[in-house]
Amino acid sequence: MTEPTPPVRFEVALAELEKILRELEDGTTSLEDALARYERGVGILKACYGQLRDAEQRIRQLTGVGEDGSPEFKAFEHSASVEGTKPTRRAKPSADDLFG
Amino acid sequence: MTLDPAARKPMTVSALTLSVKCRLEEFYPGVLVAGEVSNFTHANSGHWYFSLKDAGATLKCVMFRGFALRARFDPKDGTQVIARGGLTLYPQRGEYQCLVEELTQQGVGSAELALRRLKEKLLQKGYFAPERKRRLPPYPRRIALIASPTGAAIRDMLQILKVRWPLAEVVVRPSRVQGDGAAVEVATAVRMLSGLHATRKLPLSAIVVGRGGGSSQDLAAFNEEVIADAIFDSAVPVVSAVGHEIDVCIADMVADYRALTPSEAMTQLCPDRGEMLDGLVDTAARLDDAVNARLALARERLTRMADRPALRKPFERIRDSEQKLDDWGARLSRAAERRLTRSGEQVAALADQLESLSPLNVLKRGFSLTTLADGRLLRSAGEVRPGDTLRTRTPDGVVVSTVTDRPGVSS
Repeated sequence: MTEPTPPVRFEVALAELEKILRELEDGTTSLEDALARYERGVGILKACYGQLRDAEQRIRQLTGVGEDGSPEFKAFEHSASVEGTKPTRRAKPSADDLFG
Repeated sequence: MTLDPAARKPMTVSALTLSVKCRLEEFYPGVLVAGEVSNFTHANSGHWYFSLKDAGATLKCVMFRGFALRARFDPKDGTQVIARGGLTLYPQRGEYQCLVEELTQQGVGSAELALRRLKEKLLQKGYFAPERKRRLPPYPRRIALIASPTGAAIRDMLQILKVRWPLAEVVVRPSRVQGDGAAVEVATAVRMLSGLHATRKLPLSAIVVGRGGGSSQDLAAFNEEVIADAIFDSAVPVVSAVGHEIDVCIADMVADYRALTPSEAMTQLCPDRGEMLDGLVDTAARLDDAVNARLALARERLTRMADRPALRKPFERIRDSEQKLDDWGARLSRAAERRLTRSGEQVAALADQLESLSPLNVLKRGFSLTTLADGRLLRSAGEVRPGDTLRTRTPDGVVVSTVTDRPGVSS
């Protein structure tokens, strides 16, 4: 079974971002720490953003369970198949420029 | 009687139907019939339409408004009743029906009774306990859908997932969702998916059982104990979306979350990608503001420090660093205008440079600067060899020294 590349854990990433923001906004960190946190924050933002932007729906049909207990799949086909749609365009067009 | 069609004038459909209607009304002017109410409809006109059935047959019934108003109870599907009325025929549809004039309740129908008993039993077993309802994961990564592979429910769910949250991988397990055997099929699917999750072969965020709307008879599968057991035992949170707003079925009651429709299930289960992207843009702006404020603070401290007379002389370089910091500040502001493009690299470089220039670090070194023979600032023991001459500037003079050893430094 092929697993998708390990995705960002949004729960964890967003919590860390919030913590970084609080620390930066407190103004109590040293300059070096502040810049390091900023850099870390930008990294997390980029990872989250990239994953949200690039996600493509993946659908498989579970046909059963093999002898070794692993799931068995085939491509999912639906008679009234899903229309291909672009991800909804956002009100803020700067979003894509944001993280290069 | 001759069989020659030409010799007999054929009847019209209307005439034949009228003839049957008259006979029906003549032979069955007043009947008393017992049965279970099903497909009950209370029309806007105030008339009641329903069927009476038992194990072997079904009888269509109409109870006109005047009679319905006099009934002492509201019939529901499953109610066992005795109806008094006359048979007639509705010519437009060619259906015979009973015009009910009086309806009395005869205790609860056996199907309804069985359902009540099952609900009571499951309640006692704790199947409906609110405290065992699990929270749905906020950012689902893999969602299993149990639904008819050809129905509208699966199409609606996939469509909404595609727009709102394509990050979740979708595993579809097709199953019949109504009719004989549907209950066992759905239950088996839930158990299979739960098992794959429990053995870590296919970790799941949630299982959704989906089905489009329909009459309450079609819902029967979701009132069966086998489904209740499978949902109760599931290692994965289960969302029931069997699409019936009026009747809550047992699957709804056992599930961790009940959605009114398959579409609503997806909306409740998944965050919206667009909203999250917008949120990230806002967060990026906040991050920018915060670091710029922090830089402004550092600049201000540096200015104050440089203005102290004791420090002014030996640290002309502070002026330089101040200027550089201003430059970088401006650069960072420009970067902020373009938002965070490439800011990771810029900030890393900036952080390195700022560290070497920090006046605090200079102060920690005891107010002295040591330079090499060529005038460069000595930054590391590795830059000198035994025998090299060093000039050390202190606030009150210069010391010239020769390197004799550099313990711990490999050449």
